[in-house]
Amino acid sequence: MLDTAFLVRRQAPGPWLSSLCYAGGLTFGLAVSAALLVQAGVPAGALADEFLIATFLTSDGLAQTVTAALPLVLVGLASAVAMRVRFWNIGVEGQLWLGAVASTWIGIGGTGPDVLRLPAMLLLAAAVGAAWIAIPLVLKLRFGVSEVISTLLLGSVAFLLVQHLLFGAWRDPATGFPVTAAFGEAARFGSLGWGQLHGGLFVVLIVAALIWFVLEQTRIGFYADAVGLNPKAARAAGLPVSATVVGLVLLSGALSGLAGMTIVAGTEHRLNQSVGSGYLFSAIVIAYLARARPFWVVVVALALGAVFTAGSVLKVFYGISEGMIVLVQGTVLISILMSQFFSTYSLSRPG
Amino acid sequence: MTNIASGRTGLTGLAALAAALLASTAAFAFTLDGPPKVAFIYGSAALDGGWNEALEAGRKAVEEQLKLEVAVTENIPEEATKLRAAIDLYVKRGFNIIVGTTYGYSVPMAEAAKAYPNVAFLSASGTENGPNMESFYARTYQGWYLAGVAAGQATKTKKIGILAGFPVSVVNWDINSFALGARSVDPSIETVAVFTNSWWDPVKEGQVAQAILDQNADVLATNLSATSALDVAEKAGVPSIGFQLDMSHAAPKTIQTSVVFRWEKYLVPTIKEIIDGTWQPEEYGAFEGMDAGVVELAPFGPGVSDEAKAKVEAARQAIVAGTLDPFQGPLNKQDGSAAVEAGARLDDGALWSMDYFVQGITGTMPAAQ
Amino acid sequence: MTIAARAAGSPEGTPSGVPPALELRGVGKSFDGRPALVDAGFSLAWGEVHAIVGENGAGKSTLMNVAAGVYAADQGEQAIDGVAASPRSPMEATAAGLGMVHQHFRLVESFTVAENVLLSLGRRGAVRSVAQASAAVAAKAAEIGLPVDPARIVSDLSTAERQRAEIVRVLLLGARILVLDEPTAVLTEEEAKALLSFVRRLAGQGHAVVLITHKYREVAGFCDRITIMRHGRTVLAGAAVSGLDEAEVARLMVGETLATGGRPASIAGAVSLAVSDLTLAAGPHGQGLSSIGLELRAGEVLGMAGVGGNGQEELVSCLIGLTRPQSGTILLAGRDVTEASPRERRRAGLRVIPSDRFDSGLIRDFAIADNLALSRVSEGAFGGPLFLRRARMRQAAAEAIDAFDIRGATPARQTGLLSGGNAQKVLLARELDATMKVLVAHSPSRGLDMKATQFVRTAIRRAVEAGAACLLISEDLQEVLSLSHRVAVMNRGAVAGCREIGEVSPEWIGALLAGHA
Repeated sequence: MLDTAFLVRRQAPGPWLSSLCYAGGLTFGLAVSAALLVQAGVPAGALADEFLIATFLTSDGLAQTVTAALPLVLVGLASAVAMRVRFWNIGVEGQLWLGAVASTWIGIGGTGPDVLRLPAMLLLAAAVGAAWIAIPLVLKLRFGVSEVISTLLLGSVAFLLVQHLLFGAWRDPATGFPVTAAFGEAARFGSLGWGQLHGGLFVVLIVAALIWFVLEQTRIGFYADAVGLNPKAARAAGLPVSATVVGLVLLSGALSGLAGMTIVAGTEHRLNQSVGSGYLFSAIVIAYLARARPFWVVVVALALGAVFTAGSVLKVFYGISEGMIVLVQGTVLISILMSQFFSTYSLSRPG
Repeated sequence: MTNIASGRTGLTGLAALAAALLASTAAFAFTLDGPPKVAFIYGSAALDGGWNEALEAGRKAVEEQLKLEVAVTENIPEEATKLRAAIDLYVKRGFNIIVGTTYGYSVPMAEAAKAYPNVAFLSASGTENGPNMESFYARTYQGWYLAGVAAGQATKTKKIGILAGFPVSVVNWDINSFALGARSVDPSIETVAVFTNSWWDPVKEGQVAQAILDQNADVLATNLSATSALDVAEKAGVPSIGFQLDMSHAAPKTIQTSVVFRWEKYLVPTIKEIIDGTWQPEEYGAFEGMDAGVVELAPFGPGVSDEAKAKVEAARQAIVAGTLDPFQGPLNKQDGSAAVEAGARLDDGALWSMDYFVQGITGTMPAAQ
Repeated sequence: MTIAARAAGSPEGTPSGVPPALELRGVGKSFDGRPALVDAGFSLAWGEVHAIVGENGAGKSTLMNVAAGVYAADQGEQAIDGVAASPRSPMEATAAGLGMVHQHFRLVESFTVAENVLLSLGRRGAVRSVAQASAAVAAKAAEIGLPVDPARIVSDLSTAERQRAEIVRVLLLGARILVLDEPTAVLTEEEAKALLSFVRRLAGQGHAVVLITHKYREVAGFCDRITIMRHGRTVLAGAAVSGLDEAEVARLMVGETLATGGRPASIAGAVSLAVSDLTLAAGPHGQGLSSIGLELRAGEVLGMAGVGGNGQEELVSCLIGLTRPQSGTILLAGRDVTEASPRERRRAGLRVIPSDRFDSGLIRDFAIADNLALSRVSEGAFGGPLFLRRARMRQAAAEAIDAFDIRGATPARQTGLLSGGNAQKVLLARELDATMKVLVAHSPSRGLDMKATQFVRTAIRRAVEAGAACLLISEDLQEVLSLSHRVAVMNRGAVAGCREIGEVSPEWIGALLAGHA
């Protein structure tokens, strides 16, 4: 298709053209989504009200968006740092579950002094997340096993482990339901008094700033790009290829683990079977749309958080089904991806 | 209903006794702020053919009998952020009676209940209670005992089977009670119990059902929302038992009966009390049985003999009258150790922490440490 | 059009009154405002082999891509066999009778040749099954005298075999005008000769052939007429080859005369690189190395001639440190680096120009400044471990761009957008630094135009005169002979022989290349 007379590869799309295409794709996607929603029975007049005002312009909506975005930022970063070295971490959810399990272990065990509870949960969650991705990493480096398969399957293993714990050692002793007991106060992020927003906000901000600094300001980001784009040339030029891959992939696992920790310590305060679901898809979408740039990961994660907020409004008041909301998200995503295509290729009429 | 257990132990201390007294004197009736507006929140589709659909029937009864419009939201996952967002949205638009329909909602609902003291919260199969929140469940084991009585009369191989989702107490007591009901007919009857480890997996349920039949069982009961097991039974011409709703449509020839919920018997009077300002949430939640009509048996199928019907009906009368308790001692666990001493009955706390099978059940209970 | 073009007139093979096979007039084409073709055009006669020559980026491929429907022209007219045509896709062009064989073949790797043909033919015509496609391929191959096995899977074929399959496929689609885009660049000398002979035969059977090339030998030996392009214009269109000599062609291509350089005027010093007994087992896709030994002195160029695929890639890979040999030692400036990482070898003074610059040399999607800095960032040249000084990188890049006269380059521009010669300059600018002791240059001027070739050779000459040692591995005999002080020949993974330049004779090289020594 690319060699028809109508498509011409642009030499180098400028930043203006790129952003114009991006904005165009977003507008187009939103317009199609709006049409779909009206078709599904949402009054056209209510769309603007519900979508824009309830999501962005009310204090509660904004608080909810930011709260939902916190783990999204972390999984988005996890996916992005691995993507920079072309390691396809399809096991974000697995590492997230493991992080959640590790922090739950400390959270319900209540070991150690109270002040150290949250820091211990953070560290252990990150370490366990990194350890979980270390398995596919070793398999890949040592035996050439595709990480796409191994990370994905280990995600299922992690979930089975969660089920094993929830139906076994950790099940609620009073009812036998597969949820753990609630964490003590010391194992919860404090409320910031704005919606459900909690102290995990600071953790996420600091982590995001650190990742931004490492990838954009230090030579590590430079190595990562070189290794990701052409590992052979990078090795021949004397770059520490293996160390870069290992470091960033472990970082990816650690970030996913942290995301699990912020969910259980921030909003759920216990472990159940649904806290980690759906983050894999979000993580990949965020990292892809942000082109693996940390700053844009934060922006896109907030945008996706807003879409979730808007989605819950539609769900609650207009009986819009879950499938419809996924369809809307997919429409916006596809539109933006297509617009990226058109920022790389131009249409040309045959003379 | 964490409180059931902790409350029991707490009563042993004087201080706790004093606290309990204070609590009871402080229990005022709950009053609504504005006109009643009711909303139901489901964890998956409302019309799921089982658990949700039974509650949905209750919701419709509330609409009809109390002349209220009741809002519905489906597919809200069991995550605090997602559920709380839905509750916030409802409360902001003046809704003041919120019904949550899965146990995973209970804790976030309790937090919302603290944040919105003028809103009433009802939590189906929930675990939390408070001044404006009540969890509710039904003594389903009573219905399952009767199902066991019917199954015990239908079996010729003296082997009956039951499929269930996860090994949680509300499921375990159904299985145990089913087995005990069957053994009340003939103590040699063996019950095969299998967990599918899913609440909804029609394909797997069909396979498990077939596997149970292959073990020479000749009655098949399902404790799940899908009707796959009944389809298998109908095809094999084996008597079957449904759950949650009258499932006779899935096995019109072979069905014996279904253990069904009649949530309107709880929801209509409770919501009426809330509107009237006379509601006082139960300290340990509402936990009603066949006497209140919350659990019932669906009409018998064509293959049930009059003699069997009479026997089931006699047991039903005894349960409603309180003279028959399925978990009347002495009862032994699967491994032979005592579960209930002779002459004793299981109290609610023990029911809610039931993590074993009784004698006469073949099947593995995953170890709970 | 120039006077020469008009003077050339109608060549042999086309009786007057018969319309030309292909006529292009006044073709213009821009990419993002950059003109690639300006008023370009020529006329192709039936029965001739027509050469289109020009430097890299002169517009040869672009012009023929327009004719073949890959690009749409902005201006201009086109006629195929006298009928006005402006094909909107390669399919349309082939249907009109013009088929192009690109440098990168358009074959599905996992299909057999016959399946590929069936795929292209689609539902048209008589061929509707793999068996029929096989028969058609076999028949066409026999008709034109090109050996092609329809039953083989493309990924198992050698480059030359793929090219032949592609030619047969294009002809089966109905092409009577065949456009070959630098077909010999990927072939060995023998294969190239066979292909060019075939092309002559094809023209003799009445087809018309366009041969895009920049090798004068091919023009002089196999073509009837020549069109020369420079900066997107056809500066000479359809002149008879017999009326032009190499210097004239070069002058028209480059626009100015070239100074020819000799070998570096320096005297060999101490041993800089000593390789002994280097042995590598053959892999599934690679040639092995057997007991390679060589010694290279400062101020010396050792030329390594040989037909491609005889272990050159593997030798370079072992020298860089990307491949671990089974045995042997490598001494770099007296230091044993056999076990050392690529990084340590660089520190010891090893620099490399690989044969495929975008494989292990440059990163295609990197900015030019980033590629220039690639090997120096880890040395701390652009800030410590905490801050990477991007401004300093851009500054250094701007200086290198000036110093190496890298055309079309800005520090922030993507390297892959540069023409081949300018990308090679980026690589040279990075590799030829002050701490270089040994330069391994593998086919450093492959695919470059005359001017860029000259630039590369001059850069190597200067580096060696400044005291570096150079191992020049090349399939281009002329390059090896004109630059080297000593010449070795590689054959089947071994060094077949080595002599001082004064003792090298064509017979000696020929015998070693063929493996008769």
